[in-house]
Amino acid sequence: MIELRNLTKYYPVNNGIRYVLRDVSLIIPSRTNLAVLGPNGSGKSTFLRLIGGAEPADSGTIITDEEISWPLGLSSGFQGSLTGRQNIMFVCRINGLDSNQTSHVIDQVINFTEIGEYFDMPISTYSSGMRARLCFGLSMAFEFDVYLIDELTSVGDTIFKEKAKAAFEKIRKRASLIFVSHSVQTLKQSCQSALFLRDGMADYYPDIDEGLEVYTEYIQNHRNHSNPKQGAKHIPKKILTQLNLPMITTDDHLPENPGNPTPPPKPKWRRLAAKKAARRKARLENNKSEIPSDGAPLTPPIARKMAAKKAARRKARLEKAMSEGASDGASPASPKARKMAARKAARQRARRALAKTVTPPNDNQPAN
Amino acid sequence: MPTPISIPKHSPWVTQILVINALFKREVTTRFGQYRLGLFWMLVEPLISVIVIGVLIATIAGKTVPEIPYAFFLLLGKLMLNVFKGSMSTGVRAIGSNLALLVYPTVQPLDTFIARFLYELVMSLIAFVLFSVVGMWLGITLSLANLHIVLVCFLISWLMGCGLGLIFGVASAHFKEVDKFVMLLTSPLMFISAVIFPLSALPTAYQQVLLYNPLVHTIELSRNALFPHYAIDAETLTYPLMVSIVVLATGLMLFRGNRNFLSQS
Repeated sequence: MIELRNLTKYYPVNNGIRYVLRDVSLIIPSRTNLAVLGPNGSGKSTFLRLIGGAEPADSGTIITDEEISWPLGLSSGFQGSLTGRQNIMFVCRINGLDSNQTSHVIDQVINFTEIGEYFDMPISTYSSGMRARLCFGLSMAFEFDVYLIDELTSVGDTIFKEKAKAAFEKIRKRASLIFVSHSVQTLKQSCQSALFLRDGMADYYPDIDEGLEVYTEYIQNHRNHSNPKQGAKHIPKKILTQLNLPMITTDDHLPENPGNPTPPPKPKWRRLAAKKAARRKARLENNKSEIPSDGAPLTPPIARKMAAKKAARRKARLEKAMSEGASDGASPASPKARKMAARKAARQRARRALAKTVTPPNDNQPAN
Repeated sequence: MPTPISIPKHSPWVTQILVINALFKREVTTRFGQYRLGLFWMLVEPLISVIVIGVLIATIAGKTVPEIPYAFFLLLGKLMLNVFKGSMSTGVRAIGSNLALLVYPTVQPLDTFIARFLYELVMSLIAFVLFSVVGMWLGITLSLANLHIVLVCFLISWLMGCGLGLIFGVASAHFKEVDKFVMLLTSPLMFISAVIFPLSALPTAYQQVLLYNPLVHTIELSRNALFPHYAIDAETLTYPLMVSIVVLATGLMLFRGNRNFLSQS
């Protein structure tokens, strides 16, 4: 259980003060995964930092008997000039682990992250996915009751996402999450309750669906003031196109024409492509009709020569393939052998291509 | 199946010591990690300036200090100045360069300062001991009876640097320009702290002015402690000690007042 008592946190801004939390009192029960919702800049990350003890509140207290992790985010926790290993050692040192435990943690992190030699390279050379892996792997090596996760899983590849999911499943029995993410899908999957932050207020919803509903509604009502991209995420696509039309802006028009809106004009490149295709077709037909009649085709002679060569080559290749196929048929060895042969051919082709690109300077050399 | 490790509980004092220790080691790795010969450069840097200045002053100007081998005279002053300057200028960026690590709840902003200050002190003392040993091996006679005064001089110069480092560190969190200002401030220090010349070589009127600089006191006193024949008259330990107390108290107070501001960003 985490209890906030009259918690206030504000930041100085250009003209005055901006409240993240204003005299907020609430109780976050144990064993519930909490989704923290709110528009950009509403203080979700600050909320995590407050809970994690990385930042002091301006007034009020946070009371808890649980072991809470530090906020796991992309931009924090690792010193860029140090290597991954050195950063992990730092965390072990500040927590007073002995060398046995330290090596245990390091082994575990190496196993989880799978970033190979990057583990001994400075963090500043990492991609954001690798940072996320390291941060996540490190926190999973420690036993916490509550994990604070700030948009960490949104950057990883599928492998990492699957691993994170498995890790969530595993810790579900002993720990809970407080989760900041803009992906509604992820939140719905892994959270049961929601906390909605806005304008210094915080509302707790025991049911995530209810929280998400309120949040979506709030976003729709405030689209003109807040980041439109974020609001757009939650509106079905069809309605979105209608909302963009200047005529229909109020909500009551929406149910009247629920479906088939006028098809939007095709993008410019598509129109151009269509025109080009039409032109080409016309030209082809022209050629067909003209070549036999007066023998002066529209295509230049070189192009024709090249086309002829190409056709010859293709024919040769086809024949070769046929003969190979025949031999293949003679020994119905396996699809594997065929695959190998195909690969070999590809390699040869590549080599030939390479040789082609290399030859011109060689031709010039004797002249010099 | 990997088992997670539960974080052991420590008392606040132990935690702080652990954190400072970790930050200290991080400081050592980053400073020495960039260069192959980290410690070597640490020692060579003052040596090079000593050689350059020594050659310039001793041969071109033709002036030396009769009581002390000039190289050691210069080295001592340079080390004393470095422990002050180093603490001050690293304190300015202490928070900025450890920002990412402040996310761990046990790492507090003051710890980053303390770790950096300790680093400067330890490195200067190591350099001092090494140079002294090498000097004695080369035949310079040092009087070791007053070694404690040298140590006190080091500590006082260091504390002044710490106080100013704290003040400027807090200031630079509010105004970015402080960084440049500190750089300007430190550049003439070598000439007004009696590092390259003995104070007695100056006209009396200028001596009076330079005596307002507390570093002149610590540098001259440490020379006197190691070479008893080196004459000093107006220098005392009391004045730099008072200055260091005042500066350090101001720095700590400013820090305390801005504690919340410093840990957020």
